[in-house]
Amino acid sequence: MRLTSLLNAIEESSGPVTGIDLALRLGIAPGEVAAMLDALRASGHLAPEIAAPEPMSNCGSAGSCSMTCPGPGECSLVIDLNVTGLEIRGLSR
Amino acid sequence: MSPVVAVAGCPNAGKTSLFNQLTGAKQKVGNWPGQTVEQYSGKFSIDDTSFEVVDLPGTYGLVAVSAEEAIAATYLAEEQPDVVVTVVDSSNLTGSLHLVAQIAEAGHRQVVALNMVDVAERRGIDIDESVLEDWLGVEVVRTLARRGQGIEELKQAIARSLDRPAQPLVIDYGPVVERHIGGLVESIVATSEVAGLTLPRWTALQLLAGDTVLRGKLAGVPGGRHILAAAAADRDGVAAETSVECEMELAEHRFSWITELVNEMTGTYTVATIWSDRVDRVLTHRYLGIPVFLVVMWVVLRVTADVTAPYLDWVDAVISGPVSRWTVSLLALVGLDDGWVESLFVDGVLAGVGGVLVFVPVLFALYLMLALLEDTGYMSRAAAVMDRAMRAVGIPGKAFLPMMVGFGCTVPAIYATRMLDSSRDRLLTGLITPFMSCGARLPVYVLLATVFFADTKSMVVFAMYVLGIAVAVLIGFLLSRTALHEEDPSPFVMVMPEFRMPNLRTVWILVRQRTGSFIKGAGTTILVASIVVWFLLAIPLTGDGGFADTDVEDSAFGLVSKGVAPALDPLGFGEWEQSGSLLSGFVAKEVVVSTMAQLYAVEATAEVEAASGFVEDLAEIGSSFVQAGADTLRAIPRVIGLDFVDLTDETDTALQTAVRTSFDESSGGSGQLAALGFMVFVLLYTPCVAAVGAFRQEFGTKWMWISVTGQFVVAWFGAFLVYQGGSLLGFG
Repeated sequence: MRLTSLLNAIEESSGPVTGIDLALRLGIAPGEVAAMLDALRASGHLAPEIAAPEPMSNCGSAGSCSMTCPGPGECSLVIDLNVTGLEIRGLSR
Repeated sequence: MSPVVAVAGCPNAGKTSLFNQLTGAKQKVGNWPGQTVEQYSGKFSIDDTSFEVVDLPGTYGLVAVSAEEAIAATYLAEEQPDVVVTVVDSSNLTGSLHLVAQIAEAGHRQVVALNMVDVAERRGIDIDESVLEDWLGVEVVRTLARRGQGIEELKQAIARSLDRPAQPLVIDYGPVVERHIGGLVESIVATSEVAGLTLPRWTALQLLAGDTVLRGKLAGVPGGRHILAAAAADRDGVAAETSVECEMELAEHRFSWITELVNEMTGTYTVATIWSDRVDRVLTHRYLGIPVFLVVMWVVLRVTADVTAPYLDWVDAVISGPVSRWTVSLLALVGLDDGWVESLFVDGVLAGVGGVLVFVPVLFALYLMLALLEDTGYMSRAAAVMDRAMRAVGIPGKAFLPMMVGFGCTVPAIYATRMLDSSRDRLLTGLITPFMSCGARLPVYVLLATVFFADTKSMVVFAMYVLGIAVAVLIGFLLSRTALHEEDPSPFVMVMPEFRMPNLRTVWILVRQRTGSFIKGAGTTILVASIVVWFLLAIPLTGDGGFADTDVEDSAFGLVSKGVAPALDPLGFGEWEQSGSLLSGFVAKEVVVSTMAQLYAVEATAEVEAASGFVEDLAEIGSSFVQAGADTLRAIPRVIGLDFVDLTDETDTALQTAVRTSFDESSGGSGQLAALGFMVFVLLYTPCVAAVGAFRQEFGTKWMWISVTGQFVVAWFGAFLVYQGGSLLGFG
């Protein structure tokens, strides 16, 4: 019941939790947590979080953030944190 | 009709590279039916047989959760391609083999491309692919898709697979689940319309796994509702008998099967702690994480503020020397010297735009350091550390992500608040994000810190960044306790990349794009703002002067700035030039510096040096560039406090002298305190008009005004505390 334990640990965390946090909590190697997260992703229990829909419709050109209004993915000044957020999905629940 | 080959794989397994290698230039781009997701298809031929290739969206499994997974699952179920090529990331076998297993369970004829084997080998993973061939009854081909290696072998394997019947994989899900699968399969086989959809066992598995796409499809098929009711009863039955939800029971068994498979394939199933994990334990440590983050920031700003100084001086010398001389000479050639046109170019455009371009080396260094941190994976660790600190005071989880983006630019940071779950969390984060110090504010800090805190310049700049975080956290704490009460945080897992050596090409692309964006801003926003400020300075509203020949205090800009100045007098910078700079900074923060350069240049009426030869100028630029490079190299040890050579340039530029005099006069001799207060004001007041526009789009006009007003109030009191508090304590 390793996956169940991991999913419970995620559900019990208040807010964001890292693989290192989960590994320390469950007493296993971070690599094993990563493999289990992949399994939960494949089974549909976890899915990448989805940003809120775009509210603006008439933004300017990309490239500079000074005077235009490019979206988050269009501005070269966006610092890429390279973080993927995985959320628990309800599936059929 | 050509056999159809579907290419499937997890994101980042190299699927696109492999598809490109298979099809070459013979590709078509369209959209998947009813979707905005792009569909790529192409062709290849082997032994006179032409194959049509379809690139499926990246997916981890066939239980449809996202749109991409639904497309892949639906395509495989409905189109039944002749062969599925599944691309496996060899360095992450456990992650990739779920999809391989599910495709095999669905009964598709499959060829596995064992991709990125070089990465696996570097990590010491020795893979025996014959084990996978035996377990799944499929052919496995080693590939390095990026280099095109193994592609011909893969094509041959695809052609051979057509002669081989598909062998559906059967994983043992344990007695309880197998009993329910058996019962459900019987019901499916008895319902002809459902039995023909896919393999009955696969249909049963997907229904027990709670696949919503399949359930929706069955709802419209004769007899489908009966099957759905049976599946629901079986799911409840499994849950009751195992005390675990049905889909989790399936996932547990499949995970055990894959773990065992990987163990046999690699000899040892390596999940040992690797060096990246050990580093992570320190960098994301509950107590060590924040000091480490502060040290990293300090080094970044030390490099940015100190090491780049020689190149900053070089750009300044080039613009105020040769470029100004060439401009005047060119204007003289066309007979436009000694008039308002020369003033527009020299005092408006060159002083304004040049005043900002001087800071290109500083921004280049900042973007270089940030890109290095991004590419090594440190920024995601910093975000995790920040998150813990902020959650401790009631700021929502995930708020740290847009806040970290705010170090680059406030506008995308405000848009990035969309990743937060509730409107309350989004608003709170949007209200505090502008306090993070964006790159555009850096030139203001560097200018004033160079003038007033030459020996501790980088420490002062560092303090501004830390103060920005502290104010954001404090305001967030107050808001979460008052107007915006905290809601229960939603759990989510932050998946961070492994630490790695930075890829210099990626770093260079990032630095080039960002520095280019800054220079583009100087050529557009700053240029327009400089010309507007020049015109406002040239238009006389009082006094006897004419256009471009008036006392600047009588100009339109001077009078408006004078009207605002008294409000800033208690902060120590109540001179009209200072208030005017802050007013124009509303357009963009870099404009604060460009306006200062214009105002003080106009007042000083500095004469451009006498012309020298063009060739001599070029030689001077070249030799001073080399000298700046040598000085930069000698300045690097200063980052860690080693001062081998005194590189301090005791000579202020004309702008620096004017700024020093102005702040000393406005504060009655307490120039340092007033300058510090000015920097605090620039840090905390409204970032720029683009950020305000973004805020209005995201949160509405009412909250926009609350945000703008609040930021002005916070900035005023912040600067007041610094100046008046510092004076009271005798620091003046």
